[in-house]
Amino acid sequence: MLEALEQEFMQNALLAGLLVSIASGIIGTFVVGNRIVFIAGGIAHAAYGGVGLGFFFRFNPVLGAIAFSVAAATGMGWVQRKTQLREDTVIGMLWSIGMAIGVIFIDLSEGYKADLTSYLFGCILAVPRLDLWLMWLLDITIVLLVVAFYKELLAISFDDTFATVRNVPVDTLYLMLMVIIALTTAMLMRVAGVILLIALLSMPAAIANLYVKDMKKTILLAIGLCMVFTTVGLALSYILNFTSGATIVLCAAVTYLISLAIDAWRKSRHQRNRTFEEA
Amino acid sequence: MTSVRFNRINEMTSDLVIEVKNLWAGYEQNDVLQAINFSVRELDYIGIIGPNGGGKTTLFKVLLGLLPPQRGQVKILGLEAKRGRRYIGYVPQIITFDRSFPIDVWDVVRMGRLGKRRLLSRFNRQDDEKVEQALQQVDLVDLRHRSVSELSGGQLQRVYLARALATEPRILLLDEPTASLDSRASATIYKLLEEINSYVTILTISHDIGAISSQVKTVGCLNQKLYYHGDRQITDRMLEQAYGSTRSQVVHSNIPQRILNPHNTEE
Repeated sequence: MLEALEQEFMQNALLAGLLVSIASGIIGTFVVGNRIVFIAGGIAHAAYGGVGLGFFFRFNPVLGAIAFSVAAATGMGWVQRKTQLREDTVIGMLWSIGMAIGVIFIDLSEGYKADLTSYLFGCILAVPRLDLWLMWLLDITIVLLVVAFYKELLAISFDDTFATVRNVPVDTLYLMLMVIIALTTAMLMRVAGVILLIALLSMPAAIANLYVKDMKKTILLAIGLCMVFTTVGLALSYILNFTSGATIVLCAAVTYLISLAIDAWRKSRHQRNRTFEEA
Repeated sequence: MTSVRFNRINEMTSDLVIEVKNLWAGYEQNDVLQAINFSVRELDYIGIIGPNGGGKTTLFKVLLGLLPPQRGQVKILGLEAKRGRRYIGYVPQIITFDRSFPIDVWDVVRMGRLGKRRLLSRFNRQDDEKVEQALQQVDLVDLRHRSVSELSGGQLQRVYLARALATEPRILLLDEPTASLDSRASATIYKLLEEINSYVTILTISHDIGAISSQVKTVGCLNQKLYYHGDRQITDRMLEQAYGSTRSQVVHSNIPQRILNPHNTEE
């Protein structure tokens, strides 16, 4: 196992997991807090259109994914805040339209296509060095934006009506949050794929919420958990020769279920103590 | 020229904090509010009741600049609603409170300071002092670090009230402030509002007459049209206009004696 770490692809994989965890922990907390997991799922799937475009025109598919997911995120944010359209319907449509565009472009592309499943299910072992630089850049951007606008982002997530009345530029900030979600999903695509990444985005925050009741602490714990999941998942997938994205997601899922059980046990014990005191 | 100058002087000397003239508002073809006229004076304490769907929430949205009027004029301290709303402390219904959100009492109340700090600048010591004062006022200082998921309904309502007070408001708008609270928690809220009214104007709406504090100075009824004449009591005629045939269902609930016209109780 340890000698595996001497290989460059393994070092890259480990680093990629840690880098995406930073963005995922921060943004996942906002996605869960805002109850927009479904929107994040739509954005992630729409990104596949960009992957197809990248294959067809022979540029880095991650760049295509970034462009498509940002466009989808902007569209969904606009539909949600500025129109009377049924937002869940629109999200569902963008979700499959993006994927359909990707599939058609890949049909049109010539040559070897086996690499494609890595964008659907993730392949952390195949992350090139260039993508690592991109991840660094996106992490820094996301951290800077969230730190700079933290008090407003917290306010619009908790109660956007009140924030509007206090003259916070809610629409602009919401759109910014959407774009950051898009950038995060494009990063996560390399690790868990468009289909699985939504679990990696939402589960660390959902688990953290069971243990801490404060946004900043939730973010930090979610980052930590995400780092553990990607690292442990990577190791297990290497040892067992499983698909890395799926292994990472199942690590998170097992932790989530255990945490739910612990939470339920704690609550029932609390309840029992209270009944005892009252009796 | 002279009339313009006269108007300006008139505005400056008057103590009108809210002025609504011939307001029509609603959604698409549906006029929820029709020809609303009323004015609120400094340190008024007005309770408005009306059936659900009668336009209470729409009226608040217009006052807060969240919904543009279709016709008519709304002035908050002489300003358009979008500019004047910074003087309004808004207290939403507690049903809107997302209790699973990871946040504590202090951070919620501090959101009242958002309008005072621009983008990219942090909350400062002055903000902390105001938040502390607001918490003291609603008697929640001890629970400042408590997560909102662990609060009772009455405590949540006081958190919302503290958040509104932290904005240093001239006017408080309260939407169903005691809905879903037990009578003891309601009494606490009413007592707080009475204290606050010594320096802040209060406008509160509810669908339940029983939920209007006996401390309100004037009452009105809203059902698409507003029946408000600055009366101290709800008259038979107001109820009939606002509620129509459903009036009897409203009247037998536990209404503070002071609010209801004595004629009603003899029925």
